[in-house]
Amino acid sequence: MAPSPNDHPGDAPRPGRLRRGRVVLVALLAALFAWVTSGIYTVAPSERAVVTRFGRLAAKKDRPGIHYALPWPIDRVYTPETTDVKRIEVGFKNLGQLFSEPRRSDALTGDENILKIMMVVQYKIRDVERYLFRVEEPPWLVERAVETAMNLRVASLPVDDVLTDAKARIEIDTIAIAQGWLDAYQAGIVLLRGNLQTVSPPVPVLDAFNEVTDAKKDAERMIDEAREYEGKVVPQARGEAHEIVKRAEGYLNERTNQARGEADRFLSVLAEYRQARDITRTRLYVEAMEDLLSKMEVLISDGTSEITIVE
Amino acid sequence: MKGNLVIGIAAVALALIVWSTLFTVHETEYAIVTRFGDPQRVIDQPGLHLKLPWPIDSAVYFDRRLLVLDKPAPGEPPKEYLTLDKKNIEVASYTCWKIEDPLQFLETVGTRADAEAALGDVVAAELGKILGRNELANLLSIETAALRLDEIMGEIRDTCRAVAADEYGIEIVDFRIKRVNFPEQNRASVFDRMRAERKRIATRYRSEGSEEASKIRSDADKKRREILATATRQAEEITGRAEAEATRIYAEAFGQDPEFYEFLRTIDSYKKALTRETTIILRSDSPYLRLLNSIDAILGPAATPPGKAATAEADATEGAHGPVTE
Repeated sequence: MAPSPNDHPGDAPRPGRLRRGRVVLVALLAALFAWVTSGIYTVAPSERAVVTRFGRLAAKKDRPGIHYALPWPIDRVYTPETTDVKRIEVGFKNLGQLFSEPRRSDALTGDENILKIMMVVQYKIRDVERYLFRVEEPPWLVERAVETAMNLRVASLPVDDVLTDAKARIEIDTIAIAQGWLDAYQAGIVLLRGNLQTVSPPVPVLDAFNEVTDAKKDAERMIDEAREYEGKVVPQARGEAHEIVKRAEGYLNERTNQARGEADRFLSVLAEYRQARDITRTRLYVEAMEDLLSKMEVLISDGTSEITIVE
Repeated sequence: MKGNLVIGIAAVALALIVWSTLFTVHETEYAIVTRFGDPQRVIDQPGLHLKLPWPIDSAVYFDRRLLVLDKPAPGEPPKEYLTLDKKNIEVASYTCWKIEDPLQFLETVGTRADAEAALGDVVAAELGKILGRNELANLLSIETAALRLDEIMGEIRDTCRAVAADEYGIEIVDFRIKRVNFPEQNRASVFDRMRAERKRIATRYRSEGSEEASKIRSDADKKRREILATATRQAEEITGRAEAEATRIYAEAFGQDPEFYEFLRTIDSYKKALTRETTIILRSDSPYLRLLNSIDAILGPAATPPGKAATAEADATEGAHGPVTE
């Protein structure tokens, strides 16, 4: 066996061995360099960084940019997105979701009706330390808490309210209740808002619910038609009333004018008459008789026989 | 060469032994150091820790985070419960728990799966007991006074909390009833009830609508009649005024010579009343025929036929001359 360079440090190393030693050295240096630089990490503006050293919380970095942590296995860096709004579907038909149960999840209302309800909840990380270290699976907890709060709220309301005007109230109350619980669990999460996306009766009774909607529409239509009738009849009556009054006023005018005319005629005749009473009287009488008798058939009797008028 | 190898192996072995005396405990964990399997101490501070090298000491880790237990677990069939008023319901719940005393936990249940099985049993038993003392209306009601869901959850949480802390070193942080459902076989009758209720509501809407509509219609009709009646009354007043005015005008004018008015009016009325179709019989001694009579007296009593009127007139003219000449 040839003596190794290590055994005989005084000897000049052989060229082949020298080269191999160098390669090993370079490789070692490169590995060391890579190991040291693996501690470099960046924090995006939407992220917060949390560093643990040997598992213990060591540093929190709020500033975005480039940072350095000691390489594995000493330090470990977590960079959760804190400004990012996360979204989760809670309740009915969330079967595709990661943490939900693969069976139907109906809600029961206060008056024991079955409804399908689905709420979309938006949330954000409020406390990175709690979010990362205090709770096993924060999104999972969000889903549980929100679903429970939502069902709790629905359990106190009649089905008609849930389907119509209580939606906003349910959304607000659900978020408030669930937020209280999540705070108690130290989940480090803030719920931003909940939107009820699906609120619907189950398919087998959908027709019956639609029937109610139709009935409501029918009732509204009947009332609208009646209002239309009212809107037509009342102005019409006002028009008629106006006409009746105007007709009477016309009559008043006509009648007084007629009376005045007759009176005037009488007065003028009277004036004439007063000038020559007998002559005027006779003239008027004879003129009238002439006018009359010229138009009629005239029989003259001797006054002794009976007068019979035959129609 | 052989010496080199031995030294190398010894160095590596030494390094491994030294390495195995070090262990880290994460923020999310507890560790228990066991000596040949016998628990020695609990480490609840995260960071780097020392122990005797393998195989003497080893570290066992436990989750110290809040854990969630679903009941029924995903994939598990739902569990039915009976309420006080003998109604079958399915209840889904979740329990938040964490390991409070790792040593006790290790000694009693040991693993998470066993712990959750034990917890699940405690929760289910407690749920059965408490639901059996409550009516369905205590879980679901539109009367806030009847609704006891919060108290029920609180009772179950407190009982389970005491049991879990005593027996398993587990802290129950919260217990919540996620959902109450009717079992599959009861749904058909629930749907029937819902349908009947909807039908009733639909009928009510329709009859209320038609009631309201006919109220509006009859109100409108009433208004219409009122408007027309007012107008008619007004019109009659005006007509009356017209008559009164006319009467006044007439009286004023005719009052100046009532006798002449009577005469004039009579003549006028003749003109109006006696028309072309009328036949009038005049007595030969009527004032109008007085002149005619005097002519008769001149010509003699024979009736003059209409055809000979001209002759008679001519005769009369002649006759008229007669007396003058006579």
